[in-house]
Amino acid sequence: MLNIENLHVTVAGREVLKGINLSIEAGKVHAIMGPNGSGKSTLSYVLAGREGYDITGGKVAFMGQDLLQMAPEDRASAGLFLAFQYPVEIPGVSTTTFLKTAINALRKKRGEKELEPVQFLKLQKEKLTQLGMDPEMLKRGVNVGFSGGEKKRNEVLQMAMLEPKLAILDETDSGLDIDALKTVAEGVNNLRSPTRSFLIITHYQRLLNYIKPDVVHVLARGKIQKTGGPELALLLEEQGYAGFYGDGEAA
Amino acid sequence: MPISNETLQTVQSLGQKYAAGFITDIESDLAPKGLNEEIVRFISAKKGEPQWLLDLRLQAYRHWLTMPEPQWSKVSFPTIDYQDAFYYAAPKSASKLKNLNELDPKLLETYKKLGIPLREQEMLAGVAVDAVFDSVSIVTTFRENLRKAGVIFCPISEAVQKYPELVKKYMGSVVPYTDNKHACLNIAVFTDGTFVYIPEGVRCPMELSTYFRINEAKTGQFERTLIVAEKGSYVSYLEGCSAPQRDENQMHAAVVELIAMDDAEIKYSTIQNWYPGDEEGKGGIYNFVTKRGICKGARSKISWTQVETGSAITWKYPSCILQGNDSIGEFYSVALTNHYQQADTGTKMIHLGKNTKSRIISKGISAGKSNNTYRGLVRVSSKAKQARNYTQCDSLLIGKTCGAHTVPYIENKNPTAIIEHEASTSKIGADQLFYCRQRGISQEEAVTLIVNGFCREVLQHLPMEFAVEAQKLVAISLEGSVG
Amino acid sequence: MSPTANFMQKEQTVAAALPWLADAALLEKQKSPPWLRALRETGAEQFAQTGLPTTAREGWQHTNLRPLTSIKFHYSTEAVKFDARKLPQKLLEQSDCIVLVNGQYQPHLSTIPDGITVMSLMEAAEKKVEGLEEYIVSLGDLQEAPLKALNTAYVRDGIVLKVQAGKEIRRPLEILLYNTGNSSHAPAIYPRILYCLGDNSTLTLLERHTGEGVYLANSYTGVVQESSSCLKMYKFEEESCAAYHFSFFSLQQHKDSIFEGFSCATGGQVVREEYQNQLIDSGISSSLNGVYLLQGRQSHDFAVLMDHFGPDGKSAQHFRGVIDDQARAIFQGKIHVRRSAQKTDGHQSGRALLLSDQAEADFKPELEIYADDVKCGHDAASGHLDEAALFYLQSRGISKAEARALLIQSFLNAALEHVTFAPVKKVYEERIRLWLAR
Repeated sequence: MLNIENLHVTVAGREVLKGINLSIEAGKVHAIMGPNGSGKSTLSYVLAGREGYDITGGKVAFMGQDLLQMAPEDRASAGLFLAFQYPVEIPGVSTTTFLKTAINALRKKRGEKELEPVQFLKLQKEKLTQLGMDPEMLKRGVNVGFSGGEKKRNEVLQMAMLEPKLAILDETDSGLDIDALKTVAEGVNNLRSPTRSFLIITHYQRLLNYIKPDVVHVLARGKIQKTGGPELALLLEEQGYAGFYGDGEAA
Repeated sequence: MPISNETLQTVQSLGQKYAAGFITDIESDLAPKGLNEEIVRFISAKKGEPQWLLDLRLQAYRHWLTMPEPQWSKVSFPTIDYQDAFYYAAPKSASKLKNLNELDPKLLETYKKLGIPLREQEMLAGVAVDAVFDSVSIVTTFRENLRKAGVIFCPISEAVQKYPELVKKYMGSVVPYTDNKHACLNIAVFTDGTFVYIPEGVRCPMELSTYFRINEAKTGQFERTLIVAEKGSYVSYLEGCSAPQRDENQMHAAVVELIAMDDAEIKYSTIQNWYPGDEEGKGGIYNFVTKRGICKGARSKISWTQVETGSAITWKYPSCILQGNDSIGEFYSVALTNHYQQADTGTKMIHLGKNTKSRIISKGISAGKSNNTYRGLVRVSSKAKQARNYTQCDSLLIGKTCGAHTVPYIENKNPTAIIEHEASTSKIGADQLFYCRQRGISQEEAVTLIVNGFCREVLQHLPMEFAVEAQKLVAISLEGSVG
Repeated sequence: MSPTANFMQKEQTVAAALPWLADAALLEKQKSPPWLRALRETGAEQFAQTGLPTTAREGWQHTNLRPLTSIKFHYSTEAVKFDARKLPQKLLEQSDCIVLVNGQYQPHLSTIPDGITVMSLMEAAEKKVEGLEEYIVSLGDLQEAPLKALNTAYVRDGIVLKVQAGKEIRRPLEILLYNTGNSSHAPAIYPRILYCLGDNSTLTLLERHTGEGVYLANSYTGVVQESSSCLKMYKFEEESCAAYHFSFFSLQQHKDSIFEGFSCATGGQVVREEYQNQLIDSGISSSLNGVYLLQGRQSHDFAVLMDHFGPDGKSAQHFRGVIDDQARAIFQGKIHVRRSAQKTDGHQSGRALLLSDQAEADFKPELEIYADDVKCGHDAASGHLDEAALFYLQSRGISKAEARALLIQSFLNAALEHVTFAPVKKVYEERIRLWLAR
């Protein structure tokens, strides 16, 4: 589904990703763990197509297409979804309007018919109930005045509505209390399917207690230092990242 | 992060879709070109007006000759050659119509194309329309239904004949001809417009609206609207406007007067879509409008809502004189300028009565090489005890070649008054755009979505029936229809 | 026609605008460089064209200058006579002081710290101090500033003060502008002051404008701040209650320089303080704040322009005032962001408390913005003392007068808290306390 080959990325003249190789198959859940400043968020932004990153080498194939050549909205309609670490506020645009615009934009691009308002509202209500969210939230501006937990839940709601093929969760666990974390994880688990893959980016192992990954990678100093099974996450929790700096330098 | 070129192009393209830019090929009855006392007499004679009105016109015309052009606004344009325009143009076929069936099909077609079907059975339920084409009102719909409720809704030229006492009493009572040069010219050469009278205690059963259309080349449109709401009455009125795409500038100098008695409420909404000129700034309407309402009675309320997307130059300040105690004035405005458009718009809230309240929400969006200015006055007289004003002006800049300006004037002579003003200037955040695009929304749609969100506080004050038109204009895709 | 005759003729036109302006012809008898004479001529000419601004003029709607025309002001180039014992004490113990009486520099009463050179304007002109001519001649648009034109017509008195590059002047420097006049002989005073701060220099100034009797003080202060210099300028507008004060302050700030200004206005009958700060290069910080305490029939006008030319600039304006009796306060603040001034952060706030039924506050906070990546905002508010808070304090045993003073002080503090030099802040606080206890 996703195939990253020797990806090099520079931000403001500094090389942040120094040759990433990563392959995710359909239906699999991969986790990338790493200390602050290891390049985790850069990777997620580059995959989603945010401006301001210089790709100095390597390639990324998504569903057989050259991902790096695509506009952000085209990546989205191809099925790539990014749950933002810091969801953006859009004052005056209600979450419902936002979601409806997004869903219909995606459907249009895929050559599908736009959803009737009734269909849409029904779908939205269904997903909302699953995530235990307050319908009032949908009337407010996107992420405006939302608590940290509400913002993250809103990301998961959007993911559930847009039904991506690959969902990247960028530090979705940060700033969540244990109850919110469980709800978010449950939302993600409900979406797991043999045709849908996940890339979970996190600093802590905590979230992985609730979303069981198939593969765990350790990202440090711009490179994947180690790859293993879920046991690797536990090891990290115990020993920290110190062992992955090669020359012993701490984060 | 600066906004990308792509976004700029997207926004620029928004302005290129002026759908109302077509010309109706129709034979017109024109006054001789130019402006002089003879023209003033010609217009008055065409309308078969009583002597008092002709005298008023001539008085205004003579005063106009002595008045300077207003210089204080931020708009700039070449000196207007008042002699190089027609001051009267009427479709020949439109004179002395008995019913709609006699109306030239070309005119019916014109309004249909503009989304304003004039046949009552085709119309939006609950909306009555007065259609003004160049200098004359061609149709006023639903008049019978309204008459049953006691509401007068007719062309102002007709009101002059049928209700001279009302017109004489109120016309010029809120905006005297000495007010400013444009308003003065208007009374000298006004050709038509709308008159609305709501009797005591009547809640107008439907939305009233006037659709102004300039068609003829080199023609100025000078219409007057007069709305009188008697004690305890209510009316919601909306005006829309458009004009063909032409290379020369045309002038539109309207005057609107509103009078609200005790406990009356007037809600006045405008969707202004005059031709804005092309990308090079060629052509477009000069929109010099004087709009003012007086809350004469206690607890009366006047609320202005405007969506200004058109015109090469917009110069207008819908105002409220809050004379009655406990009266309320409101001003909600969205002004969007693109290419070389210039807008200098805002309001005046004059607090005279005790416990009067006013609220101003202004949203300005500038793109291209345009300049967008909010200019507003809040004045609290020494007698306006406990007066209260809240003003919020937000500007959004799209691109590096436009300007956004805020010029509020606040004058307080009463120590018990509370006046608050806030303003901010921002741009569309690169993060916001990226967030939308990541969800599959195209750059263009994302911009309109964000702009729409920015305007929401104002747009929600428009009557539901006209939400569609506003959506189209500010390129709002879904806002307001769901959720 | 000889240049002099030409000038005299123009003078007659000017005389028609304001009879007492004709005194300017006296200047011709003074020895001064030709450029200076030409400058006066331009000033007189410009002023003759505009005359005194009327209330019909944008920006002058609320300051009525008509009373000025009914007084005969005298202009004199003679050395002013005064009693040195009458001069007020310094504001701070630890400070140096420069004294000007009726605009004329008094070296024998002044102490100048190391690293600073001070001379009278005429002395500087004679010695051809470097850059003086360029600076003084580049006045900008006089048409837009009639009172600056008037000051220019009489340019003669005043000082030039230079701080050496790299010099950090630790002791605050007080500039006392003392004016004296009486109703039978009301002087018109036109000082011109120039402060030049070299690269990396630092200076703390206390500019005190005070006096007795009737007079017209029309000053023009030009400031050039070179790169990375820092100027703190604390003004005390304490003119005599019968005086007219019009000051024009023009500041040019270069790269990474810092300006912190504050004005506490309590004096004068009709006063206008105009400030134009130009943030020319990048990384500049400019803040100008103030309080005004008005009573009687005082009229005070603050007109502030923050003009951003360079990127990454920061400007702030915080003004608070209380207005009693029939006094009138005007605050016109503007942030102008030019196209080149990306990433500007500009803020402006003006608030007034009206203490009486006949007091008036007029605000015009303005934004003019041509760059798209900026953060700019303003707020303005006008209102009265919070009755509930007043009652609350009274219910805790505080007298009404005391409670009122307390609330006013806390209101003014929102401006005062921007004074970073503690000894001056104390003086300001004392001024406010005295005013409230009057």
